[in-house]
Amino acid sequence: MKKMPMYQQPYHRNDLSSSHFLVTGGAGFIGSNIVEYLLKFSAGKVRVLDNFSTGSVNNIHQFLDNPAFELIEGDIRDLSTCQRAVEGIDYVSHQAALGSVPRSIDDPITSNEVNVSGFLNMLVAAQKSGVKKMVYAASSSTYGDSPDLPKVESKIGNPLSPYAITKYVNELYASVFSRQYGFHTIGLRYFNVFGPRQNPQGPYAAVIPLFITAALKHDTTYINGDGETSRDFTFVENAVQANVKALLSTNIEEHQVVNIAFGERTTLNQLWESITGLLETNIKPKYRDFRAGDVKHSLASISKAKDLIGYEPRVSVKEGLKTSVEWYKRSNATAKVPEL
Amino acid sequence: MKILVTGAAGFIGFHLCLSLLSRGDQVIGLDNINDYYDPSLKLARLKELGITNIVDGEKVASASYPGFSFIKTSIDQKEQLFSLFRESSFDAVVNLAAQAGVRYSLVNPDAYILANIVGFLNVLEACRHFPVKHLVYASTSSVYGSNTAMPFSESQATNHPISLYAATKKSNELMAHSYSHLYNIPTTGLRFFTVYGPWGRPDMALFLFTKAIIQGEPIKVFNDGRMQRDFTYIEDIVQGVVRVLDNPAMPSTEWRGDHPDAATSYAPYRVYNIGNNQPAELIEFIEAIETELGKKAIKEYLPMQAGDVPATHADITNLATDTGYSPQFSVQHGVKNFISWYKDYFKVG
Repeated sequence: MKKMPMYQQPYHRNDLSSSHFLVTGGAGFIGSNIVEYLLKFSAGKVRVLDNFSTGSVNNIHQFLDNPAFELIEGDIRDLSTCQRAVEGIDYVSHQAALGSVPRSIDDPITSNEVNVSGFLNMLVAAQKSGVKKMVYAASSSTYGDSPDLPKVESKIGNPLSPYAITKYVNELYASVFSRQYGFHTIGLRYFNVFGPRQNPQGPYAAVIPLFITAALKHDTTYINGDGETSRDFTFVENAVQANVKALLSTNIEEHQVVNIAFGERTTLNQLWESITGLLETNIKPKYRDFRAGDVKHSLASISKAKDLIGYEPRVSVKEGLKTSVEWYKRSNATAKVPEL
Repeated sequence: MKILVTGAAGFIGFHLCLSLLSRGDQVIGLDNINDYYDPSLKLARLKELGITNIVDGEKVASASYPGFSFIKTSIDQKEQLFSLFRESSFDAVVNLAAQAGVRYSLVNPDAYILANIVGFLNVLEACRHFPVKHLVYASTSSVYGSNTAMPFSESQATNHPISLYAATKKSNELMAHSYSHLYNIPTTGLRFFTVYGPWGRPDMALFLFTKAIIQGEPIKVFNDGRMQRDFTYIEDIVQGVVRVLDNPAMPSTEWRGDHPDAATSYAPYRVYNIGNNQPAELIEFIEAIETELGKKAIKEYLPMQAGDVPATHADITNLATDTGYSPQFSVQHGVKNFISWYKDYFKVG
């Protein structure tokens, strides 16, 4: 089994050794990838705040021995925890949230508490403690029912889920904090981010980890609709690049939101073909009805991110899938501790 | 004989299928191909058995063995299991499907209840409603738990498990006895002692150590490697399972309720140790790997792990007397065979 290398080159020019970073949700999928990058390039301190509700210690165990790594097990719904987490911190990457549209439909109250109240706590704590920059995870779901393609930041539709509302509210708060307090943050509207450490388990798993793990086990796989639904799938390394560049940017004088995507459309049928091709099988998926509330197509314009923070996605969907497939194969291939 | 082997894509199940097929039995293999460890190893084993066209929930025929077919399903799927039993009229069943692993039972206990308790109950119920001549099922040396009187004999009480894995396997023995008593189903439980060999499990020490030594990575050695295990080579295990399969459990006329012997019963019920009767220290086992690879391990010494026992040693008198079982393979010979398979499979060296 090949280990596909990630984060081979830096996306920054600065010396990070005297910078202190906080990654909320750092035990989650995107957060732990950001942590990996920062530690790899010798950041002075990388602190993680996570309540392990959807994050996992498996995502960070490899960092636990690193002297630059710090872990606070706590909840962003508690303001004093947020205040403790930002102490002595220069840069905040806020990734903590309850992801998943279906989860927010099942339990809108908890999604709102974490994604809205938790976000506001972090915003208040970061602004008051005088951090240099805060970047937060926004979402492509904010485009809602807008049919326009590609999506440009200035034109959104009506939200289609509680999750979309919570993420849009983040943008509204961030914008007001910029005007009222001069605290300028950057929201990254992620488009279908995938890659190593994305959880394939449970009812709220995303499509790529579901497809890969199902194809690995020859489980029956369902595609909702005819498979011609398309998305702008974004390999996690590209999202990490966006976080790093946004955090270290020096030209931001007001709140900004930017699309973070690869900038190409892939249909579910193409996705399935690529995955089964990589696994050298020809298992066929089963088709069933469209899921209510799903938009048919999604594609981002990434011009604003390019212009504003110099975002330049380097890893294609195909390459990202290859790395992911190898990772899912490896992740359950070897337990850490030998059985006797 | 027409035999159902559950866990057929697993380490022991795969080897057992090959052995039964080579002597002309008709074999139906069942496995859910879960991802407790890399499913591609399970798929590769199935490929060796001529199965490549796997379809969830459907029985497919082997391309290389006319006597073999395979169905991808879980023993926790009662309806699918029942319809398979209904249409197949099995002569015998070997239940090797289980959630294995001592450590993992501390992490994910629910998986053990689902596969080892709910799943095993379904197998028993299927044998009750669609009678078979013999049900052989996997137990484990872990049922001896905190016992320290060596060698472990089946007559000892096994009431002190130290992992949920062991507790579920002990439960299987108890559940089997109740079904042997109630429905007269001949059942035999096999307490496997640290099985190793080609196509082995990637979470087992031999596999992990070999991989790490080849890659020059450190290996975790607990308790200074002074733990003793009755390492048993896969070919010896398969020999034992086949011998047991051909000798359905019989009621013992000598069993007395006022002095109950744990090893036997008035019902058609038996449990046997299946081991090598030659315990080796883990460190010797590591040395055998080093010798074969011609390379030293980088050892990271760690204290004893929760759920681990310091030693196991099987008394195999009962199995030898009743079936003629006699293990043939030394640790050195077995490790050698494993390493040559490993290098071939992963195309190293």
